[in-house]
Amino acid sequence: MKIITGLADLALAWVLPEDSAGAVVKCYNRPIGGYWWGRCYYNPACGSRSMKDKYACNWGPGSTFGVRTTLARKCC
Amino acid sequence: MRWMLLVVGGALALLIVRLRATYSVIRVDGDSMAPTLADGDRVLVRRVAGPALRRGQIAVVRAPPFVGETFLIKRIVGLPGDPVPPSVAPVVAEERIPVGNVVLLGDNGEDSFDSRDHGYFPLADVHAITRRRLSPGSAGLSVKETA
Repeated sequence: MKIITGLADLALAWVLPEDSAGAVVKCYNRPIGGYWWGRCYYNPACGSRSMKDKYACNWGPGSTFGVRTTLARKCC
Repeated sequence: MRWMLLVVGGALALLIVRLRATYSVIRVDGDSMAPTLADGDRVLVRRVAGPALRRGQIAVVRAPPFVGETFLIKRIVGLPGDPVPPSVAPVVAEERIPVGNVVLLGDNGEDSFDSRDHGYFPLADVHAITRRRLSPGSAGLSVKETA
C-alpha cells in the first residue's frame, strides 16, 4: 500500500507545477543588510554532497529582529 | 484499438489538467515550520477557498512584499471571529479576529516570523493548504501526513 501511494505521489510530483514557500524566521543578532552562509544540510539536488544557503536580514514592519531571507544556494 | 488509445489518452490528459488546476508541489524554504516541516522539504498542496479552511491546517499564503518570497508557509491558528491568541495581541487592536483575516504561526517557537510580528494575514491571500509531505530522502517515494 505504501509503495502504491509512493508511486502515485511520484507521478503527482512529475505532473504538478512546483513553487517555493518561505518558512521565514526572524534573524536574531544579525546585521540588517549583511549576509551570511548557513550550515550545510542534506539536499538531493547536490547528490552525495550537502547544500548551504546564503541569508540576509531585512526589516519587516512590526518586527524587532528583521526577517531572514534566502539570497542564494550552493552545494557544500 | 486505436479509438481505445485515444479515449484513454484523452481521459489521462483531462485528469492531468484537472490535477494541475487543484494541486501543486511546494518546496519549503526556511526553518520556521520545524519540526513539522524542514528546510528543503517538498509538500503536496491543494488550492482552497477561504470557507474551506480549518484551524490546525498548514497554509501557503501570499507573502507581504518586503519578505522577498512569493509565498509563506505557516499554520492556521485563528479564523475570523476567533479570539486573538495572547501572543498576537500586542501587535493588533482587536480582541477577535476580524472578518476576512486569519492568524498564522510557525511551529518553530519564537524563531518564526508570523502573526506575532506581522499581525493578521488576509484570508484572500491564503493560496493553498498542505496535504502531505514528500520525503526528501526518496524524492516522493514515501509520504508523511502534515496536518
